[in-house]
Amino acid sequence: MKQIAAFLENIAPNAWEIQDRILQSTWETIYMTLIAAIIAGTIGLIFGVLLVVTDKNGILEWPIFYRIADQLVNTGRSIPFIILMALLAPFTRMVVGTTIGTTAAIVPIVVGIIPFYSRQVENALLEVDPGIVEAAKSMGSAPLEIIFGVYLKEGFPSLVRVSAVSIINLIGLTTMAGVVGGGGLGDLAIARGYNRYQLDVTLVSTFIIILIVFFTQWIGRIVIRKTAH
Amino acid sequence: MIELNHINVDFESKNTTIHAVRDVTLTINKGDIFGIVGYSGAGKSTLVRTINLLQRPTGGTVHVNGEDLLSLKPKNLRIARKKIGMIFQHFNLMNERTVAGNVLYALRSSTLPNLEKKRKVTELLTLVGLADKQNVYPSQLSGGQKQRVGIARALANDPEVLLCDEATSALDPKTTLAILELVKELNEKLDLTIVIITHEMEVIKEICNKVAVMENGAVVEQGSVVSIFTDPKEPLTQEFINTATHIDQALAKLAKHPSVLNIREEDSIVRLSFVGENTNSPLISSLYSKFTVTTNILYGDIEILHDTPIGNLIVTLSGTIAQRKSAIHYLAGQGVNVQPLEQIQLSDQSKVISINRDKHIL
Repeated sequence: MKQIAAFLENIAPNAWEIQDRILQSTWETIYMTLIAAIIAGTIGLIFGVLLVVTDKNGILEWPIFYRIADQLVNTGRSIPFIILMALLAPFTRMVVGTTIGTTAAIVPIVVGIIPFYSRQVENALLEVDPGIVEAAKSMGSAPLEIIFGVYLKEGFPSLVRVSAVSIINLIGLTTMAGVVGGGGLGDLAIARGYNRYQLDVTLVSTFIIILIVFFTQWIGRIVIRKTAH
Repeated sequence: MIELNHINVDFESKNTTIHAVRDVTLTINKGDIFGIVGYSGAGKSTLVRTINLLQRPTGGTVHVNGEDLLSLKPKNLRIARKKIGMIFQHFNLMNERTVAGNVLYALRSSTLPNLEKKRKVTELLTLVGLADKQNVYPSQLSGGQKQRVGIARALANDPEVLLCDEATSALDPKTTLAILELVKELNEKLDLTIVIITHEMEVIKEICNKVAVMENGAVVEQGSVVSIFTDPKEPLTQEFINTATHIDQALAKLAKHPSVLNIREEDSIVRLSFVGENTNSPLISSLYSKFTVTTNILYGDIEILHDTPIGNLIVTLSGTIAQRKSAIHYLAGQGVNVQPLEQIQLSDQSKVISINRDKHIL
């Protein structure tokens, strides 16, 4: 054990010194990712479902709604995240009372990932065989029954897949949270590693982020394997 | 049971309007197995979807069991749909649910207690012969088994009507027969009214009692299967029948091998078709004894449709013109439909062409 510690201290001396800071940054990244994933996941899922059902030949076809929602998603996806954070500052203050800090960073992250996730959900649900939806209609299913009983049930493995992809994207967004004082591993890699020429800190930050990404993918794959038939 | 009145379905696209169904009026009675046959693109699937309003017609009315479906509110339409089961060409089972789960889905909004629902699912799966597959997922089933699940699911809410949209088209011939047998059994056991969409006349022949022939969105001919098979009026109907009775293949074979015909001046090739009783009487031998016309049978086929034998023969009749004329007259008097087949000389080879078809070649 001592040898391992000595080895780590030897190859990454700067990182070794700020162990607490690394742990805290990791926690901040996980915290931002989890909270944003839960909020954006819920809103994005609802939005994605709405896109599918209001689309042409959808079960609740509503062309005007679809066109507006579709445009919103496109617009949202075309705004660079770093600018979005600045743009959203007043809104962030309204929601969490401040524009600085980890919690404040979650607001633009949520807003930034929703368009992406909505589109992903839409695509995942469009993979559900329209014939199955038709069969459900022929059995007298109501729209809500079709949404929950067919789209979300049949599309579940695809939903898990796109959710994993979106979470990985989201982790990417959290690395920019440093701009608004949100902390996290991205901030650590830039503020310590890059600005102070401590390459080992940058490497350790990268390594932990990769670990989190792999872990997400791994969970996603397990869930898909357990649920897809 | 089902009344379609002047149904029209138009699809608007950018510059054109496609008339998928044109002014179709059909009455399907309780207990009927009603076949709708036509080539792909004839509008059959669109038409059958107007029966449960999966496709809303642009014009006309739909009555099922006396209820005007087009006037129903969404909620009541859903209730009405539960009484109209439907099965599909590609089965459309839910892949993420087990066999039992698929059937159970149909009972989602039923008021039955859970235990009752489970009992009902078992009962339905036993009915279609899949009692042992309850907990299997559709991906592990064969096509025929999937369609059986589809049928069980369609029957979950005790419907009075079963719509079959090309339900056997994705199945091999043996499985097709087994599924048709099951459908027929359900028709008798449950007094189910059945509408079958197909492009295969064989399917119609196998189980339907009535049939409508569709072309370009319109019904060109309809009637009882026996009458349509024995006396088809429209060229399209004849084409379907000829395929189903293999007359087409027989003619094609004969045309390829004119040597078997050995046609002389005093021969004529005719197709004889007859229904019922006549199948039993010794017509061919009477032709010789009465008119000294010899008959050479080139092809023969007898089908039994709803206990009615239907015969089709291709023969050469040999004798003088007068003898042949009176022979044909006699046959017609016996209720035999005599259809002369023309011969054309192509250099040395004779070719046989059915007179009602391919006229443009002559």
